[in-house]
Amino acid sequence: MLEYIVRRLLFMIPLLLGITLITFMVIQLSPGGPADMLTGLSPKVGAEAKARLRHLYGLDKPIHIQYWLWLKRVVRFDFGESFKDGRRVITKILERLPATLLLNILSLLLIFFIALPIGIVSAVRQDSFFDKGMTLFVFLGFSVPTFWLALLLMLLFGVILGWLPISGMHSVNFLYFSLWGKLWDLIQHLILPMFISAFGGLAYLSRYSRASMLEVLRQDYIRTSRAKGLPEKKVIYRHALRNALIPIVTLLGLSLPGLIGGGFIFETIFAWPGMGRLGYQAIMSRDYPVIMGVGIIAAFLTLLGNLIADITYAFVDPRISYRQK
Amino acid sequence: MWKIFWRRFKRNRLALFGAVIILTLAVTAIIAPLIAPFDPNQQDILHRLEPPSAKHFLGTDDLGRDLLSRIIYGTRVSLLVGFVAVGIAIMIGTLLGLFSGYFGGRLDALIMRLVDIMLCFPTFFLILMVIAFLEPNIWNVMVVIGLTGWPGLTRLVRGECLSVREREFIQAAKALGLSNLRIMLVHLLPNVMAPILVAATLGIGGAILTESALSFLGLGVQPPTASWGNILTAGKDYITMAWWLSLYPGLAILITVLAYNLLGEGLRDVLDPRMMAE
Repeated sequence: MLEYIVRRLLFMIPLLLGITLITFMVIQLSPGGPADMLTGLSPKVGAEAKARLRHLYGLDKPIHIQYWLWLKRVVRFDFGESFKDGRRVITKILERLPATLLLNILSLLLIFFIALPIGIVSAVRQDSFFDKGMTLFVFLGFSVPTFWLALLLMLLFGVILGWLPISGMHSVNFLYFSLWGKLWDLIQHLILPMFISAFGGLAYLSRYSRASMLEVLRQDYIRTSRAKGLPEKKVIYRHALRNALIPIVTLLGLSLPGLIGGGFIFETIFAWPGMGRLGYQAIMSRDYPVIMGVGIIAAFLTLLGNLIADITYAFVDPRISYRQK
Repeated sequence: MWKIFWRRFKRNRLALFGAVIILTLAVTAIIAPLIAPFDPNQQDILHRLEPPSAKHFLGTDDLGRDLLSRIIYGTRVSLLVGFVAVGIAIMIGTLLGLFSGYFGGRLDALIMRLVDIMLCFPTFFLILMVIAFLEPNIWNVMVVIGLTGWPGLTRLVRGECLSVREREFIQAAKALGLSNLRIMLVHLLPNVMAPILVAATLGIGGAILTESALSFLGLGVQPPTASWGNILTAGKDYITMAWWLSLYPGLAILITVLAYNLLGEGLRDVLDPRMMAE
């Protein structure tokens, strides 16, 4: 078991290298290269000033040396300073990360607790009204553009009904609230973004858990337990469910990076102060160091999510540990 | 064999529904100039932000342009992006998948490593990053969406290749001394087509969603060219005053993507080899 983890960790290293390589290449794509990025393509900057800038940042060295130097800094999480306000990129990211994680983890839990039962019930009552209805719902969920749904819900709940706040994480007078007041305020701000964030994943996961459950229900051991005369409830909850859960659990681990990636659309719409929104603002203002930093951190978190998924899978599926022996 | 598919296809009502919608959209896109009541780019500031009426079926946008016409022309953008982006992804993905699955060994390992790396990046963010560095226009969007889509396809094709590779007719072809390239293209490829087709159809839906999200954020198709996504940008700004700007373009996206998804799922059921046992 342990060696499996170690092997997976070792696997990650070339992947990490690859990520940094691709990110580095993307930087080089910018018109004029990094030097012009720094000067903002301003025509007022003279040619010699640019040349000095290049030398200062080591941009006149051959490209593989540049990559090596950059890599050394990235490993220490030093992404340089933001173009906008000069603060260190890593500081800005760390400020926003908890907000993003909060939203994503809560969404994940929501997805889990809703999609799973839906999928399982759909499988158990295959082709019933419930199943068909859920399938329709799932198809819609796949096809709807999330930002549009966000707009509509904002319109409905925020503007027309006025029930929920439509932007930010805290109200303006947040600091004056009592502890309970603060909590309630946070919850109110969370509801819409969380729901939108979960929506896409809901569709996918319920479909997947349905398929997984169906697959398990076809197995011989289910037939055996029914033949043994076990009550149907026990058959489902005790035997089928546990085995169907295995691939689902790994899917959860894989969903986390997906949420992080798609997060910035609704973070932007709802003005949620998370990492995704930071990335989007950086992109709009061409704040390249921040873009690079967010990109790498996001990729890194994705890798982490995959790793957790794999380890969980190895943990939960007894068949894998058998193979190690 | 194709007759069997066609018969089964006709039986699956949802897939038919999807196909009909897609055909309608395709026709709309082609004959857009003929059916659009107004010029989509013609501004009429005196009549900006007008609600749906007899004259402007779906209302006007913030510059007085007819919404219905803009949505009709937007069909062109969406379908174009969908096809080109997925086309690129399929070409690269199938090629790499075939090579990877057929030759195996070190080439396979290398390609799969590359695929893993590409899959590490949150797709959308990668697209955003790249477009931020290049300029946002429809061609970059198409290419980038295509370039982020091929890894999944490669894995799929490779998997199929691995199973088909061991079948007798491939062995026979090898024994006959046919060149590798010929075996791959003429014998291997047609047999792995089915999942590629399904993935492509579903992929078009996804590409359309991505393009509209990008345009919504201002990083895709730029105005004045009408794209469903960038109409929604205006919709967001005027959400309290002009609900029609938010509702209709989104509805268009929804219907289109739904159609592709239904068709894709239908194709999957139809082309599923397990059902060949009938």
